[in-house]
Amino acid sequence: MADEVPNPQEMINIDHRPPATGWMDTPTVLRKGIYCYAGNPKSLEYVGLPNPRQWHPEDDDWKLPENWVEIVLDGLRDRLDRFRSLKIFMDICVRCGACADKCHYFIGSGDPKNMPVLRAELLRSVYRKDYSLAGKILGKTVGARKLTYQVLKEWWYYFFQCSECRRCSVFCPYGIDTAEITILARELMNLLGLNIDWIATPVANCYRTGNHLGIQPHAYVDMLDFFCDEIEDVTGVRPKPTFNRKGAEILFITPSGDVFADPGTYTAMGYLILFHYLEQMGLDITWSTYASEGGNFGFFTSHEMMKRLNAPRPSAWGSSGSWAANAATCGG
Amino acid sequence: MWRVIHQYMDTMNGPTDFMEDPVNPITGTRFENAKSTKMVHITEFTADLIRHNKLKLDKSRNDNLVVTFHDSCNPSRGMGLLDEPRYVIQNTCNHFYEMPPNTIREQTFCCGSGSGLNAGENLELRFRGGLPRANAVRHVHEKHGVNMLACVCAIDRAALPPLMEYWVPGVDVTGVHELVGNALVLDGEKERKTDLRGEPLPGMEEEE
Repeated sequence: MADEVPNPQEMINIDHRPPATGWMDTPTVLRKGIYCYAGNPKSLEYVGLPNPRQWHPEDDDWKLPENWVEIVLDGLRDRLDRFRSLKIFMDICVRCGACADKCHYFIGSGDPKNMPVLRAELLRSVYRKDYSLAGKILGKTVGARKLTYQVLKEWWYYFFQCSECRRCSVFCPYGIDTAEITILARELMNLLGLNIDWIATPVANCYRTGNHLGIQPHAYVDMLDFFCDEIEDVTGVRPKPTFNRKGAEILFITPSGDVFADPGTYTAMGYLILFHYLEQMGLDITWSTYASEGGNFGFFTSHEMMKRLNAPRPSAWGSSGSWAANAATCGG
Repeated sequence: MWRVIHQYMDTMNGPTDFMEDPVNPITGTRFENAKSTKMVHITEFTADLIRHNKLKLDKSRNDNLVVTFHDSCNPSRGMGLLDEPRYVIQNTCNHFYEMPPNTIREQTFCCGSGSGLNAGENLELRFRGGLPRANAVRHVHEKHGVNMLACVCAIDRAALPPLMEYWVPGVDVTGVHELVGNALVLDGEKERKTDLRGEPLPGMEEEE
C-alpha cells in the first residue's frame, strides 16, 4: 500500500482551482489508484449481467457491443419514463453551485468533475443533446454533447467516484439527489457490462450463498462458534445462538463483513452477548445462514439486482421469524 | 441495506404483511416506525432496552476509550437514525465527544469507500474521499484525546481502520455493539480481565 499511495504530506497538497480549459474540453485520463478493477466475467455471468468478458479500465478497447450507443440511449429513455426523479434532476439544476464544495471526493481531490453539479452534468449533457430542442440544434453552446466512447469512459471514471452518500442533496435548494443520478448512470453502464469487481463479485456471491463474502452455511455456523469460544474465554459464559430456527419470534440479519474480519467480528460478538443476556429474559431470536447479508450491493448495480438480492429476506422471515432486527451498511 | 429496506423494499418485495408488527418482547415497545417493513435497526432495539432499564451495564469497562461517533450516510442522512446509536454509546461509555456539527448527523461525511468503492486498488481515491471525515476525527483526537471511532456500518468497520491509520494514527474503529458487549454484565460471568479484543480492561493492566 505504502509504495503506491502518496504519503499524507503529498496527498494534502490539493489544488481546488479549476483548469483553464472548460470542462468539456478537458480530457479525462483514467489514473491508477483512483479507479477500481473491472468486474470478473464469471461474476457477471453468474447473475446474467450483460457482456461478461475480461477487460481493463486502461485498455483502449473496452470490448463493448457494437450497438452500445443505442443500448445506452434506449436505456436512458426507458429510465426517464420510469423514474420521474431522474427526469426532474436532469431538467431543473440551475448551477447555483451550493453543492460544489460539499462532496468529500471534491474536497479531497480538487478535481472539478467531482463537484456534484458537474458529475451530474456528465450525464445531463448527453440527455440535453437528445431530449431538448435547444440541445439538438445548438449543441455545445447550450451544454449538450454526443455520447462518445470518451464520454462513456468519463462516466465510468466519475460515477465510480461517487459513493451515493447524498451529502450534496442536503445543500441543494432543489433537493437534487446526485446519488439517484449515480445509481441510474451505473445502471446504464451495467447494460454494457461495465461494473467494477468490488461490486460484481459480492453481488454474485450474495446470489449464490446469501451473503457478499460467499460464506456457506456450515462456515457461517463455524465462525459464530469461534466467536462463542472467544466470548467464553473473556466472560466465562458461552452464548448458544440458533440458526434458521422455525417459529422464532425475531430473525437477526447482520452484514457478513461482521462475521469475517476485525474489527467487525468484535461487533458480532457484542450481538451474541446481548442476545444471550436477553434470552434469559425471554428473547426468542435466530440467525439465518442463507439470508445472511445485512448489506445489498445489488443497490450499486441496478434496481432489478437490488430487488433480486433483497428477496430472500422476507422469505427467510416468513419461515423463521415474525419480525426482524438488522444491523446495516451505509449505502446498500 | 437500511435504506434499501425502508425506501424500496415495500415496493420491491412487499408488503411483508405475513409478518407481525415488531414489538420488543422485553419492553413491550411497539416499533411504529417499522410497521410496514417489519425491520428494526439493532440500535433502535438496544436503545429501547436501555431506556427501560433492562440492561445491566458497567460503563467503566470502556473507560480506556474516548469515543466519537461516525454517522453512516444512509442510515443517518437518509433514514434519520441519528440519536439511537448515540444513546447506546453514552450509556455504555463514560467518555464521548461529538465531531464538529457540520461533519455529523445529516451533514455527515462519507468514509470515502461507500457504494462498493472499498477495493484495494483505489486506495488513493479512498484516502482522498475520506479526508473530510478523517479531518474531523483528527480535530476531536487532538482536542479531547479521542482514540475510538464508533460506527453502525460494516463497510465503515472495513474502510475506516486504514483511513485512520493513514490520516489519524492512534484512533481505532469499533461497532456500537462491541461497546455493548464489553459493558453488559452477564449472569454468572467471571471477573473480566480483558475486553473482547483481548486488551486489558482499565485497572487490569498490571495483571496481564
